[in-house]
Amino acid sequence: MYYARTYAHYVFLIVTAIIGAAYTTVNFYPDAPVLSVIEKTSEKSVSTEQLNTIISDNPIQFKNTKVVPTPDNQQAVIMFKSVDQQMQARDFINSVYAKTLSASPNLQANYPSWLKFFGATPMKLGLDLRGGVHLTLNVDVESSTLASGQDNAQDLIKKIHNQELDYDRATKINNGVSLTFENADKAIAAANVINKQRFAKATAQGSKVDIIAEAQSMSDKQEYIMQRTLESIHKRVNELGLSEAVIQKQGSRHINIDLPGIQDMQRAKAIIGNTATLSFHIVSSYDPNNKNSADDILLNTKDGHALWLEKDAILNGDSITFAVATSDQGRPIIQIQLNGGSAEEGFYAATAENTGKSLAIVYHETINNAETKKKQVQKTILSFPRIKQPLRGSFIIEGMRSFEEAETLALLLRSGSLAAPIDIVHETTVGPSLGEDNIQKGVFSIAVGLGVVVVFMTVYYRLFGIIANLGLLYNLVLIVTCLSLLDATMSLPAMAAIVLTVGMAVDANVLINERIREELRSGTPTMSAIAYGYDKAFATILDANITTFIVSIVLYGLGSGMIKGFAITLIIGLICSMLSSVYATRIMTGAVQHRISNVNAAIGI
Amino acid sequence: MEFFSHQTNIPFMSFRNKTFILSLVVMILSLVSIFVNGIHMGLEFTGGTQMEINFTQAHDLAEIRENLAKVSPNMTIQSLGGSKNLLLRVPNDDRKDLQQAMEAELTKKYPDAQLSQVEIIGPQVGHELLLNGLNAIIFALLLTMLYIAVRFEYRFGIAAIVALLHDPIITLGIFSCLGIEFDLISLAGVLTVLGYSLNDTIVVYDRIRENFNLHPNKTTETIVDLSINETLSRTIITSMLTLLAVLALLFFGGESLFGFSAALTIGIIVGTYSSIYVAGALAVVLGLKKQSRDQLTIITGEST
Repeated sequence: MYYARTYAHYVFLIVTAIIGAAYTTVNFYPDAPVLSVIEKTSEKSVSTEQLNTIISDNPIQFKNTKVVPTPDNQQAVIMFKSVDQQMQARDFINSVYAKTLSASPNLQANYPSWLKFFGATPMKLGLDLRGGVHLTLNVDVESSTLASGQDNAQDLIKKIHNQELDYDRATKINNGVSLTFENADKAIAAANVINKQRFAKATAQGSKVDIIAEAQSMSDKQEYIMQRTLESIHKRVNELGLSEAVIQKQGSRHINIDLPGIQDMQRAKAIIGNTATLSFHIVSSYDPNNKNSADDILLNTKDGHALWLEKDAILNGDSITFAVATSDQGRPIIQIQLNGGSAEEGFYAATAENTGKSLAIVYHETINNAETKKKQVQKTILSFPRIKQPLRGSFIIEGMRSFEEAETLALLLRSGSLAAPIDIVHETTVGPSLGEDNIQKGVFSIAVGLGVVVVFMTVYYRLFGIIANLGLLYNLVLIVTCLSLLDATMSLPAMAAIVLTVGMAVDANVLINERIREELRSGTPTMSAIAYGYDKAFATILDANITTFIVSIVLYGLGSGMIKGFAITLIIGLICSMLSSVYATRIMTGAVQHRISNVNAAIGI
Repeated sequence: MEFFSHQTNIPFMSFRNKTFILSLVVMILSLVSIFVNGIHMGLEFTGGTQMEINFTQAHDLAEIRENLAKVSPNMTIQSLGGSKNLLLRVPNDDRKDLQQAMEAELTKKYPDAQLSQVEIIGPQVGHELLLNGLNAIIFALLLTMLYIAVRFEYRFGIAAIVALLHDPIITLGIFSCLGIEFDLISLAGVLTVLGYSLNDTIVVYDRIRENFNLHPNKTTETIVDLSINETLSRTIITSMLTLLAVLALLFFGGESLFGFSAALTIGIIVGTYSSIYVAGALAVVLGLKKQSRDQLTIITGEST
């Protein structure tokens, strides 16, 4: 291996070591649990003085806490020593000051400001280290109620409508529609709009455009449904205020959700997987034995009355963009606002046409049929108020069983319905105290593993052992830096990989030092023995690392979640160990080798 | 300080038949145990519900068992050291509300109970994970064999893989005998052992290749013996150091890393044995001869 004693090497080592030290140190200052408190009426955050008053009024609940500004200096928060205490304090504020204040928990960076110079931030901690919930969802693509290709072609026609490319005449053709436009320019423009979409192909001929619904492959449809489902879940998780959640697609039909530190698990689960939505139908007949039109559908109200409804909904849940649950004289209601546009116009027209009739509000939810073990959509009429005047803008609906149901339904209406039913197939909950426990265990194992290796190397290889130990320390610092820069998540398996890397990284130095010893025994002079030792050991070290590297890549490719964390840490560990245990120790050895008077004593022969 | 004088001269090749028989017997015993006793598969592979319960006071385990069996008769309870820390497992169940039902029953009977960890896995997922794991092992084996075959010679590749197969089989056998739970992280442990054990084997093979060039007049057996002896101190020191680091994990890493640490602890010991006793000897048995040396020189392009 080429080596020259130049200062460039020293500078490189020292600079990387300093940067690494900063990135490592920052992890000893984990994010602290804080409470941000807002005033209910003004929705403004409470001032530092007010927070200090709350703390001094309640010394037991707020022992060892302090009021600190947020990083942006926009507001003040109360900082706690532990998550347990934070949660107790939240419940305390939300019950004692229920009328005026509302407290919500959060995490806030809490490291010394000089570390900001390096841009270092603490590594994210996995659920096993900080507590939280992991969910794997299975998206039931087959049961998706999403429109088929032909229905999508209808959607496309609407799109053309919105682009003000109004057609004069539409005729149904086989597997699609044919539209006739004013002139050829409009036809070509319309065809271009359509061809940007999935599911349909348009060909312009003169002023006519033929739109054919494309036969979609199953995988195409599946991908589309997955995409839509992911979007809805993102919205729902955001609605729940879980900004730190990680949502990822896994494989072709699974979705992984990590919800760190969340407390109200049952609610989160109920909302994420909920397929509930609403639709609005005109009531066509109040007599269950007598329907008005052949297409009418018979549905039950909540107290068991059956009504005939017109098949086509005049408004769907998807068209509702704003919904909020409130109460009206103690009864739960939902305030709904339409977003204007064609849906609202259609709704207005339909209610104008049917003034005097009743409007049925139908609640859809997917339930598992216990007998057939299949999912089925259950529709219930929430209420059927009489239409007194044409409806537009905002209105309220009532008939929910509880305030909680109203709140959930409002949230679901805001976030949009799911493209396909989903099941939770894997769920892991880790309590926050177990997480803290795991951190201690992981750090302690690394410390013990490192300690044993350091002591052994020092005793066995003396000066060369100390150099190897410095290399090992440099290696650890590099691994943490790389993981931070890659924005990787620290987890218990990742810590296990670090422990393992400590053992493996030192292998290179054992190989090198054994080689140097061999050379020295056969009478080679110091400098040459060191050079030969490094040279001869290098090929072996490379070979040995490559095989572990291959295995780690396989693990990364086929593994899931935790295993990926383990694999990526191992891969980084291997790369860093080449730099630290071969290059860094060589530079350090080179710096001291000419001062060694008794080389045998220095390497412990 | 030196553990080994540089003159160790253990005639490994002369007792290779004995070590082969030993390896074969242990492997067969492992396979028998795997098929007869089975492997205690973790929740991730079987599916089901698992809850870790912490009590602040000690309770009678039998009484807890009796109370909770009312909720689900199929559940098992196991102590995680002491009577305050329990692991509760229920095999796959159609009931969606199992967790709530358990929690309700627990908090009713034992107000000091706290669920510190809950894990629910559907049967389909477990099956998929197991299949993925097996694929990973096969894939990793094939790739590493390919690498060694290209880097050294095909006989080395085959010998290394046989020596390698030997390690996970015995590791799984010991898991099966001791009834240690085999979960996803244990699988990662076994895979890591594959890579790790290969390290040792490669160090020995590297030395064999080097010695073929240094001593053209010696027999293959002598060369292999010499190479194993020359690398012996390194093999043992490295294995010992990694083992010590892994033992730190085994003792202090906690319950969730136990399977991983156990797989590595067993794997490192077995892997070191196979690198010393099986890998080199097997290459000789497969017909590694002096003629191969020229081939090696050409392939690697090295001339020391």
